Amino acid sequence: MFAIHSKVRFSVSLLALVFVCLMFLPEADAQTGNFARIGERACLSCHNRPAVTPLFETDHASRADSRSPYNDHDCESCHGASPEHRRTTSMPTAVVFEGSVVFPVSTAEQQNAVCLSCHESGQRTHWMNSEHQFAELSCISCHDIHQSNDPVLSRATQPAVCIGCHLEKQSQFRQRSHHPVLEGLLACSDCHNPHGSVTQNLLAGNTVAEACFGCHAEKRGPFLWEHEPVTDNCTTCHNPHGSVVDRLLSTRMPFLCQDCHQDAFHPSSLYSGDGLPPLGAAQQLLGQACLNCHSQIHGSNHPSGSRFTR
Amino acid sequence: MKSPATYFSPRSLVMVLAVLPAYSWSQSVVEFGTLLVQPDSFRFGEYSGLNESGSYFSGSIDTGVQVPYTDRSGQYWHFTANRLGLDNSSMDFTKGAFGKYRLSISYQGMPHYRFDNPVLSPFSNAGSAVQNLPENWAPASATAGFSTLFENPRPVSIYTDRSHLQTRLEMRISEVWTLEGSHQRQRKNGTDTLGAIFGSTGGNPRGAILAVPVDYVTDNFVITTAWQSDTRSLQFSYRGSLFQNENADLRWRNPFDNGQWLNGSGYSDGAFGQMALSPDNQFHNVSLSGLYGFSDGSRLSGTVAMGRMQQDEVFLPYSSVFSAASPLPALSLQGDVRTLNASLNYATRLASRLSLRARYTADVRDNDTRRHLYQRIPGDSAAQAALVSSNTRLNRPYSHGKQQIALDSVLRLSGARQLQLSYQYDLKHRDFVAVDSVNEQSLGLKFRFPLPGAGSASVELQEAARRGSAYKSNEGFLNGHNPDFIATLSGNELFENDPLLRRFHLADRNRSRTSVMLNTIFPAGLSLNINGNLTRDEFPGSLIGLQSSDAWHLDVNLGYSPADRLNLNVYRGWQAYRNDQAGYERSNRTPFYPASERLQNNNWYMSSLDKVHSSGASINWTSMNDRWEIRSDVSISDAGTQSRPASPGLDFTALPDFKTRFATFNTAIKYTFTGGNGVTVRYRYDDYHSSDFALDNVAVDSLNNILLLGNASPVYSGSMLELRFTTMLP
Repeated sequence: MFAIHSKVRFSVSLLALVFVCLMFLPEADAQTGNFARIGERACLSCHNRPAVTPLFETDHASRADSRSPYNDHDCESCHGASPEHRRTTSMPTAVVFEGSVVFPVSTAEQQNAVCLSCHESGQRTHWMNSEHQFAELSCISCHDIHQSNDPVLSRATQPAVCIGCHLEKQSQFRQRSHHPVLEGLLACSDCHNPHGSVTQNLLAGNTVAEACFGCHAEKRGPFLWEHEPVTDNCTTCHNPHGSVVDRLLSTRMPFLCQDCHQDAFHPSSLYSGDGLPPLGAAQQLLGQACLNCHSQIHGSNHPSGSRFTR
Repeated sequence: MKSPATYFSPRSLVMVLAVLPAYSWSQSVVEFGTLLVQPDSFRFGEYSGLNESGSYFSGSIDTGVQVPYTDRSGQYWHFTANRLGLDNSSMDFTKGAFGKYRLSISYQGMPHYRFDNPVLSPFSNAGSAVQNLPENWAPASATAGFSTLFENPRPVSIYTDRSHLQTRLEMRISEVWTLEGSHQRQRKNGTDTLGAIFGSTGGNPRGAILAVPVDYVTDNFVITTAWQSDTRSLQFSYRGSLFQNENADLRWRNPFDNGQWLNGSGYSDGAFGQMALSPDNQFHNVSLSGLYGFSDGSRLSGTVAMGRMQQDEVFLPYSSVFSAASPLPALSLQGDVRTLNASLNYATRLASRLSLRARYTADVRDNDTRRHLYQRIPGDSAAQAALVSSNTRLNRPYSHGKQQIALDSVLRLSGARQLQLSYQYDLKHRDFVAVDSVNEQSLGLKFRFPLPGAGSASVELQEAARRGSAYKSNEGFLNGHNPDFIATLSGNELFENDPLLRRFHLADRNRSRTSVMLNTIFPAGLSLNINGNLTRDEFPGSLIGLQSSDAWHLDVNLGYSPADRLNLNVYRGWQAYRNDQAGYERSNRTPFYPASERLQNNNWYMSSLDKVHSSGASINWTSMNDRWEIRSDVSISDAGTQSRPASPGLDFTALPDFKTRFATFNTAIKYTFTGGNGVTVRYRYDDYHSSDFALDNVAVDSLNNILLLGNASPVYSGSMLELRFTTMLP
């Protein structure tokens, strides 16, 4: 029904070709201005301090890389040509990344234009269309490029950066069932691309399922007997950041399953305390609940597994 | 590029001599120490591997060499290893030359312990792919009759050890081209629990929850080549993912003898059940992404990705006990799914105060897998009758097509205030489900304004309405059964699900969302962050199924950082999720009457409310002379689920609340000697209490038909004391 027709393939290919051709149109020239003739030395005469100099241990400073700011105008490659600032400290640099009472911070757009002049590709191709860009975050809202170990690039320290704004994730990652993010074994960027992606929630994959199957490939199939939500969106049943219910389920079974399945007999029954010992023992409540029998709920490859029991 | 003359002016020479530091970097830091864990607690080892009391060795290494930034070779290497000796250890080795290449090899261990004690299984090979029962096993038709059940219970730990080993090479092959390749091998070994059904009597299954092996290997490959100029870029990628399961199937001895089953299928007959485990599969995907920057700052970007999922594991027989009365329609699935993902984005500034972005995305899943009629046999104990239309099922290879158009605009008002208006239109088509097509329109308004001092706040409102084509409750039934069988049915017999039920992910839905955010910094280093969100979903056409749901959270963080060396944080969060659902109990296949003619006494309602309260505090302090460093944090998370049943006519009693309380305290005190050597004392204490009516006070034979594992919800208190020495090597 949704076969990817040859016409679709042709249209997509044509669009891609037009896009590629666009790349070869002429571009504007690089920046010009009154830059310091002695490069970073002019800056370090005042700024030779621990908050600044770890930068020289990073690839941003390496003269071995022809793309490095330090093969161009050194500090002023990023901070902008700032002759007035060099003359008197009462004047700001052309681009101010960290503002103060004296120097108001530059807009996020001005700051980010500096970074994007080199980094607007790869993972950041969709930055200009991302939620973070639209929220006017600047690159240094998350990155600390003067540090030799930028905290947001480490699994152990990245969550603290993200949680700084996404406060609710802190408590979600402490719930009974959660991914090991606060434990430092997974990073937010293992599932999300904070620089923008083709998905709504900045997922690293093209779809929710693709992002999840990156680690949970055993649920990818395709199976002989498919459970439709698995092929569509894992978050139909799971809360990936954390849940009070085991296995990241959004609601406990059998109630989650009964939101979609109420055939005659057991699927339509009301399950209450009557089904718990000593009053009773309902196999839909105890143990693994519905999964006591329908254990292959992500899909079955058994020829008689149409009800996910085999 | 700077001309060489720029470097050698007389003034610059003076400056160089005055301030140029030697920024070559070389370090070797080795940390080693011992950890004492008390007491034994399986769950304390969750994600750390510290599940047994006793002492552990742990070490870390951070070493590397890098040439000065002025060196044109740009050579460097770096090796870090953390938590060596523990199950969650990680290592990373990187070697490269800035601007030329970078090679990295990394490893991450990830232990996962589900329960705080081993489970008890009567199966003698519990945890393996073939599980037998002890010779003295006494079979019965129900679990209460297993008289030797408790004689030789076998403890089995339910855990998995996951590891990721990744090799990655990035190369710059010209001024504008880069090439990157990576391979990641994921291994997941251990055990899991799985319900294994052998047969049924009168619709009641007979089975056991088994501890089953997990032995997965997934190889992920990525090859990317990218071209980049100042404002344009192109990227072509191939991604491959190959999944292998070492265990294609699970076999277990049937613990039951049941007079209603055919001869040859009971325990006494030596019968084994068989279940298909996750099949080997693979996914391949090629993508092209590009960005074009217009001279006015506008950006056009797009991605096209085409993928293919395949699976062709050989089918198991219909039954492991009886030979087939009819052959399988195919030896394997030859599963084949094509995917297409496309996105086109445009962002521009229409005027100095007005920005606009537009996005179109498409997601197509085209499942080309062939459809066949397969015999449905509920368990290996059942005989395989001749293939008749009533006991055959058609597989439903699901396909879908999704498209989305999103428009956002931001109007910058005076005084740094902003008004954002958003519109989104979603259109989804699906195969074999109750609703052919669904569309959803969403409108959002966000107002952001500055706060006195440094900070901002925002309020966001969003309203969305989802509507679908005619809801065909029996679409899945009609597409999953033999057309010859369907032709014999009429009226109410043509339904599998209640026709008044609306599946919540397909149903008409009204969604409203309100979000507030406040981030501000006060004088004297005080900061305040508040995030809140309330999302309400209502399903106006759903008489049965999910009626409405609410999700809300409010989180507050107060920070105090009067100096770089001191940082205090206090955090408090409230979250709640409420689901209200309705049902109609049918104890037999009575006709589906319209709602007005139904027995009102059979209606039931379930209201589930999850509440989570979290709080925490942390302090980070470093002494003026950098000798002392203290990092401490404490957090408490209290969660409870209330499930409240109700019905005008059905019997019910309240369900117990389902609770989890987790408190953890961590502190680390480090003293650094002259020369960088140091000693660290670290202490962690966890207190975890949980209850779950599905597990607590439930014996392995509490259910008549299903043999359980007897595991309870985790309850533990555990502590860890670590003494660690830091040595700076020359």
